[in-house]
Amino acid sequence: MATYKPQYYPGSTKIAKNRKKYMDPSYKLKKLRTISDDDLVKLMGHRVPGEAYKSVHPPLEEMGEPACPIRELVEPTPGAKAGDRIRYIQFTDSVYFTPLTPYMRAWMGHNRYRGVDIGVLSGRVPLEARERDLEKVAKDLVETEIFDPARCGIRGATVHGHALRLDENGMMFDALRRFVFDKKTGEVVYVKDQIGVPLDKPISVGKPLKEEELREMTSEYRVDGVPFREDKEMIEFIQRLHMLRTEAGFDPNKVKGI
Amino acid sequence: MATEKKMFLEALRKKFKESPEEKYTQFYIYGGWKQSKRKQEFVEWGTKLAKERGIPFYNPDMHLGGIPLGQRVLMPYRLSQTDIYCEGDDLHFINNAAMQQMWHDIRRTVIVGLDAAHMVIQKRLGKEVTPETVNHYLEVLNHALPGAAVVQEHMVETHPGLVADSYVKVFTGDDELADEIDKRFLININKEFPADQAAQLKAAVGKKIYQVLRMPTIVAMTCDGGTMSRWSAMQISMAMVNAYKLMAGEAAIGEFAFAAKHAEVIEMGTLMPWRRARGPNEPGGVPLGYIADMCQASRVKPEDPTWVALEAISMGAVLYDQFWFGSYMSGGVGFTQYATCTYTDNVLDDYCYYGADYVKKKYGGFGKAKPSWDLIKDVATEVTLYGLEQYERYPALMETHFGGSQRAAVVAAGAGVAVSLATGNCTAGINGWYLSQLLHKEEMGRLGFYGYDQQDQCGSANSFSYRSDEGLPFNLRGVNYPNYALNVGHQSAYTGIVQAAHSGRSDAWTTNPLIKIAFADKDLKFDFTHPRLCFGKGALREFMPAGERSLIIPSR
Amino acid sequence: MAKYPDKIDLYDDRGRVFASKVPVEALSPLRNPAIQKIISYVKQCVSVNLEGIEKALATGEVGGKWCIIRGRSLKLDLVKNAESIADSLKNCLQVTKDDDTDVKVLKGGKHLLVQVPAKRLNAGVEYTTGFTATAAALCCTIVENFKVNIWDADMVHAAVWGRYPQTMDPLGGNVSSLLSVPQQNEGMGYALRNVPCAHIALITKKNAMNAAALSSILEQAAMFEMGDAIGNFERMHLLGLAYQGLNANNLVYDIVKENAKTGTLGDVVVSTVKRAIADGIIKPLEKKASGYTAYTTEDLNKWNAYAAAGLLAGTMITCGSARSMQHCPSVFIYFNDLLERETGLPGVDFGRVAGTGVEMAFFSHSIYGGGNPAVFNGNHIVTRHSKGFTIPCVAAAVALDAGTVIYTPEKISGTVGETLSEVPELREPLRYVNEAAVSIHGGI
Repeated sequence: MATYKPQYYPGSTKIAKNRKKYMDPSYKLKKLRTISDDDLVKLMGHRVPGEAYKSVHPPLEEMGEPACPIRELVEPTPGAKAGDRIRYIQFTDSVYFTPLTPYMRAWMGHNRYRGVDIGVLSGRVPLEARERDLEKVAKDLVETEIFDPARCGIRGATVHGHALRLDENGMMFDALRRFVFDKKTGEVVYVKDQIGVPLDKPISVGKPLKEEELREMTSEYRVDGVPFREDKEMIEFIQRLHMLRTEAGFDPNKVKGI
Repeated sequence: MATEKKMFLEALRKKFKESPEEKYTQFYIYGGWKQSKRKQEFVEWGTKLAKERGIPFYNPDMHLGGIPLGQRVLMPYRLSQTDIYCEGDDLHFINNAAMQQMWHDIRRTVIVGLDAAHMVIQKRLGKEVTPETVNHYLEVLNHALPGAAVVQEHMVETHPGLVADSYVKVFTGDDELADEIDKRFLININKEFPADQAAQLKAAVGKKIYQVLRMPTIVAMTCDGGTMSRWSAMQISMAMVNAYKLMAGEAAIGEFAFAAKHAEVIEMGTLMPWRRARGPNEPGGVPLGYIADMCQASRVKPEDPTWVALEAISMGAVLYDQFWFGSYMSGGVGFTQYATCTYTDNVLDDYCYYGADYVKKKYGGFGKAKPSWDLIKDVATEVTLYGLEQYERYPALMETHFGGSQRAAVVAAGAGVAVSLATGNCTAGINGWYLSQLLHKEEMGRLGFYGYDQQDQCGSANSFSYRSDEGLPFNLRGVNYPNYALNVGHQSAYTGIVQAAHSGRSDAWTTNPLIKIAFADKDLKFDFTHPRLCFGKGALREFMPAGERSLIIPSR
Repeated sequence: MAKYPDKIDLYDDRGRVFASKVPVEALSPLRNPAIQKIISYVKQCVSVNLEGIEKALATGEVGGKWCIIRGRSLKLDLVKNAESIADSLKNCLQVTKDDDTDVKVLKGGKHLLVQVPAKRLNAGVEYTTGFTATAAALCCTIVENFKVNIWDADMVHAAVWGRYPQTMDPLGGNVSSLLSVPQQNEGMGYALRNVPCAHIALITKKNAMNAAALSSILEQAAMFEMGDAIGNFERMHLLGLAYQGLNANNLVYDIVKENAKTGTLGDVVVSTVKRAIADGIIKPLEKKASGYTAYTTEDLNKWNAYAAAGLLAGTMITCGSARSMQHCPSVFIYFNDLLERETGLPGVDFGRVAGTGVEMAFFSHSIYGGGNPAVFNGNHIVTRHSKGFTIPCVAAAVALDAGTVIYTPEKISGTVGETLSEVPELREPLRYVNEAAVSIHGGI
């Protein structure tokens, strides 16, 4: 018992280690850029900066709660306490050496943040939370090492692009062209919010990370990077899990000590 | 088939101007929808018809508030293992008459045993049944089945020009009896199948005789699948009354009707429960093994079981993914994009042949090894890794299958087909598919659409379960099987996993010999021996379907 | 004699011990008298919306949305006369004077809670008797008590039964039961799974522990009825019911408490693993080159029960902290993903809960599906895949929602949930099932 320490993720390669690192909430994500609170609010487009949070129900204290031992135990998040609406931020991550894969966003997100609703598709990851809680989480997701301005997109809809080749500036495709590469500054600039509504002023999210940096930071196995084939431990892990699930479906009593 | 050649490269070179290995390209410069001939045609028609009808219509400016489709290359598609290239739109079933006809040919088919009717005639009515009377009856029924009167006076009838694709044929495993049947009515097993397959089929059918009835396509288009056995039963019973000169209202006739409507009928699909309720002969009720058996590739190229599986997959893709999930179940137009990945650009072909070669080399051929964990892990993992590596090696391939659901389906299909080929056991094959999905999820850290992997997460545990509503030989599962009832991008390939197990063993059929024989019929409109080629003809607008109404509408 | 060696400690919904070392079979639907009573009540108890009938007759609006039959209305004072209707209805339904027929007048006569006598159900084979007997008796009562004539009785039928029998179910009717018509069941034995979580949350007055318990009782009882909880698979379901649904050994409550103030879903995973190691349910199998330790177990069924309890606790932490039901499918997938990667052992129901979560996430968040978790039940093609381990968590999530959805449990449930919360065993199942388990302890 005393020796148990959470281990988060198996695997022997650099990619597995990166995955484990991001999933471990005790690892502090490196801050790489600063996006002002107001700019982040504008990028998400749910409210105007400075505007009060809209609510979907009255504050918990005002409305009172049913007699439930779990409600008595479980502390609501600030947004839940206030009755905020549940809103979203959604990311698209390119297949080309981005820091996070879609499932990594869910695994990491559920290890690090409380009260979040994360969905995963092949080309996008919505994260929903009470609005003021969302803004806190979003800050981490955009300002730290898990975001690359060129190969990660903040996109509400028409997310198409994760599997496409990159453009001449190394940017991921975006049919709505929410973000553009500013050749003068070398920075990526959002000209539309995540759903595609034009912004009154462009918002810079900084310079794209260098290819070699991305290759170090990425949690993507790739044959032209660290091939999955090389991570035998990981492959055997999945094979065993599949075998155990299968045998358990046949007869759970027979799965002993394997 | 030399896998070193990478079967998909030729198509990739046609699709994109850059080399398939190139990671960079340009976007936003292609002129939107104008780069596509088909979209140009849509715009032309949409504009013209909007004026005619006075209600706004097709208008690509509505897309994304004025940002049209085609900010990237709108790529063409090659029908796998053919030389046909077409646009994606041409593979939507609404735009492809061959796809429609494939479904109509399946839906309008009913198989009905004749022996029970003959027993009624002989035992209850004391009449003789001979090959001559059978031939006479078939002639009467070929008059009646399309919608003509045989007994009553002053009846309305259908215009022969509208229902010319409706007919009845018979087959039997008894060579002597077959010799005596008028050749115009016979599906000749000896002629249609290679000798070893014919022997297997005849042994299964024995001395029994079965009718294969095709209702008119126009009926399949305007009524539902439940109509088919009712339509056929009415006409069968009336033809019996006529051919054998029976009293139309005596109790023994009720036995004909019971035989024709219920007891001796094989529907192509069965009923479904309330939430997705449809009558019989609708896609959701058709088991995977039936589709595999409807596909006739196995009798024209039995020496290439991988190709046979791929042809069956294309039928599964169109029927299950495009018609059933893409239309019946979901509405909307989006599912074509998912489904085409299994039968275009030779991608799945490349993966399947890679797996087949691997199996041949390592396990000494097809169907030679028993299912085991070692084999499933080895084969499914190898093919999965190979498939994923191709996407990573060729950015153009990744862009071709730009949705994760496409990649997941194609990679897992390769794995499942390979395990099926190796073991001759398609339940083991599907277990290989599920391992592939789990590996894929971990490798890429992404998989399919929001709900894609529901059945893949449940799949390992349910592969060999034998509890109440889990567990069934894979051949008999279909899109009404609980785990499979709600998500696209799986069942197409499932059809091939069933087929591969049996074509690898040189079986004449996978699940139902009667269905295999019933579709060995050159008079069907759709070519079930080469479905991909036929879909391609549909895409090129070179396919002539049945069920046209030009006879009864004003000419344009 | 007990079939299985497992003994558990029973706790209430606030983590207080109730009894120790109780055989797990004392919680079996085949043995526990309170569970059997709950299942009987589900069949016997029917809700009548008397106010709805009165309005329908007054306006001619019967048989479904916007069906308003012109020229056909009846002004009957049903609500005012609820007491006499209740008496007549009871007389009509009663088989013998001493049977268990009961009709309660609620909300000043607007609603009735009807308990059809078990004798009527015992004389048939279908659970629909509760509904049919009540609806039919109600028609008789209204026609008789209010002297409805031959020309108007069809309107009474429509106000009570809705559009049935043109429809399969009583569309637009004013009598409702927890159970849907048999045609709406996904397969054999699915009847008890066809109860929306909205009903469960309201019946238990949004007490998340009791909501999970009631839902788990119905789901796991259904497993016996479906033929799943039998032979090699029975113990897995019994342990699941005990640990996940009924808070055996206080596992759920303890894990929630441990993470109540700041815990994430990931922390709940860690708590679950810690407890499983401490209790000797899992142990290290081998250490890999990377330092990763894969775990194994000698008792996969028990591991599954622990994982299922952790899943419920994870739902309570995630949906509880957000006071929102929509988060639950994400919990179902990622609790299991994280647990599997933490231990190398299969997640709850060996992948089936994760699979159910995948589809439920899709259907509750996208254009292809529809509906917030309150409309979900175990009888849906999206949710049927896990055999009893998902829906209790959905019920708890719905109970914990503070009002984030437009189609609230109250809107979805109509009168049924509220009315049936008058039945103590349904409202507080943990208490009654625990008491009953202790009462039969010696028998096992």
